[in-house]
Amino acid sequence: MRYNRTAKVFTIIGLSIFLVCMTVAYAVLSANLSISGSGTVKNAGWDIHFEKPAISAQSAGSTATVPTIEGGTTLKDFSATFTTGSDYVTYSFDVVNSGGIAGVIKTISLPTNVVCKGTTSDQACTDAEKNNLKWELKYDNGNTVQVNDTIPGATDPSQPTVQHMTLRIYFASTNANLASDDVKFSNLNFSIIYNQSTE
Amino acid sequence: MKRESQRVLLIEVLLAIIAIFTFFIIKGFNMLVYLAILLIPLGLCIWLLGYHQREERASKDVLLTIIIWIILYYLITYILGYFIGFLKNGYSMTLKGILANVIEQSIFIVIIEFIRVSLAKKCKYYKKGLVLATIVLSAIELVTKFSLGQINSRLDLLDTSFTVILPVLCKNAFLTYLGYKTSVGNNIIYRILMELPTYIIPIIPNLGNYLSNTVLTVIPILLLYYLNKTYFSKKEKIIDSRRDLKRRKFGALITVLLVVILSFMIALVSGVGRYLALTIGSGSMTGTIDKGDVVVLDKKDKKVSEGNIVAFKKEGVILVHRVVDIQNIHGVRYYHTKGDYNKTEDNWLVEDKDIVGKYKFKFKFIGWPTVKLNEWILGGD
Repeated sequence: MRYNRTAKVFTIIGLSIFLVCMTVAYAVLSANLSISGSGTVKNAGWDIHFEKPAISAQSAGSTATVPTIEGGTTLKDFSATFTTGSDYVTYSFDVVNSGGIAGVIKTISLPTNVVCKGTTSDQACTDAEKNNLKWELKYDNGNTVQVNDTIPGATDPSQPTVQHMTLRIYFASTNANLASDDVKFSNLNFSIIYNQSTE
Repeated sequence: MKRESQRVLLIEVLLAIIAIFTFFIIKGFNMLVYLAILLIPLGLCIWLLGYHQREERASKDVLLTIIIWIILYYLITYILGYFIGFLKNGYSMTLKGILANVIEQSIFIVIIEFIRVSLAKKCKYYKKGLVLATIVLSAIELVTKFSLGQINSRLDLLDTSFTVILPVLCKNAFLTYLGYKTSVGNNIIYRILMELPTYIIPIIPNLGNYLSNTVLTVIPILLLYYLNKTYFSKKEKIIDSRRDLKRRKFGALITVLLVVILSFMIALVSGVGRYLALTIGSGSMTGTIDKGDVVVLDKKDKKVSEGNIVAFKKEGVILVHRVVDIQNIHGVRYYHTKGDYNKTEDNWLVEDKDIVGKYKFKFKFIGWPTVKLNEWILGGD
């Protein structure tokens, strides 16, 4: 049994050295590691979610539907139709923190690879058409939502912390640049990732 | 019932009341208040049951084995992470945040494990007490992991059951038995090494919900089996017969085979390797691939040509359709897709970055339980 115990101790030492070397290697090569997204916070005091999606404003020529909330943390089914240049729709929603743990925005992902396709000609849009669709994510006081913004935890669960945000999607184009065919945009994915904050 | 067993039962009932009260009645969870409340059952354990530090026979060897397993767990998962990718840690990575989380969790671990081992050591003639201890201490821990307000649908319930409740139950079953057989030190060290790095390491392997929770469920079970066989089971009579040796070899072979098959299935379903298995939930490809079939996709083979069946992501779901046309516009390849059973082409274009993998082959019908479960989940939303 003593021999076995000694062998185990040496095994632990060897494995620990290997673990430390791996840690150092990862730290040195961190730029080469594929790191994307954030892990989930599994804690009963963590409860940041969306509420009250609505359309707060839209241009006369546009139509839009109110997005839906899935699982509290995903706003989906954004849909709008623009018929003239400079058409826009502004969605509003609340980010609510009902838990005791404060959150800090670590990542804001706005669409980068929007898919645009003509509805009748079955062709993909030109770059000019794609690049005319723009978006802004702001608080209702006009300030832009930024990484490292925090949302405090709720000291009383019946009075959660609420931050009102708006997402404005607009077509920034003069009528001369409009597509000759109606176009449909898809792959419009927005995400705000919160991590635990100690503020 | 012996007096000792009655005391054990009393403390377990108190723990159950605390868990139920915190889950269902108290709005909002505060860890510091919870820790203060848990001092009551801890005090009762010390007063009614006493605490005797007794050196168990195989305690040190068990501890060394546990440490080896845990180091191997981190090595394997972090090497896997190099190939699969990592996630940033969602917990606060400031020094203040790390210390707050670590100190909070450490105090919780020490309190719970002292309670657990005090209860377990008095269950020598009251085995039901071990089972009850596992259940109530799992409930005590689950209170810290999620609140009922976070469960709003059947999907949330199923997700929480498999990603939170099941791993916690398995871990607590292992810890209760470990505490019963060895000492509180082993339990505390196991939990510190397995749980505290969550709040310290800045990156975690992106194994995905399925694989990471499968691993966290399976490790305590395997460790329990190994420790029981190696250290806790009574010494068997050495039977010197060829028949017995043959039986043992056959048993070992079956075990190895089962482990290999199980590992292969987990790798296939989680998609951690080259291939990914998906259940078909709709009839859009009926005739070629039916609803309830399980298709195997090659994630590495992204060379798509007309006529290939591919899986791709669209609006948050994965679809399996056939490529009917390919367009090259401004240097970008766009694929037109269509389900074999659908009358018209899909109303979207698919790009290379949307492709999950290429269809290789299928298993007929075996996906029906998944389809039925999915329909039940979505039916409740």
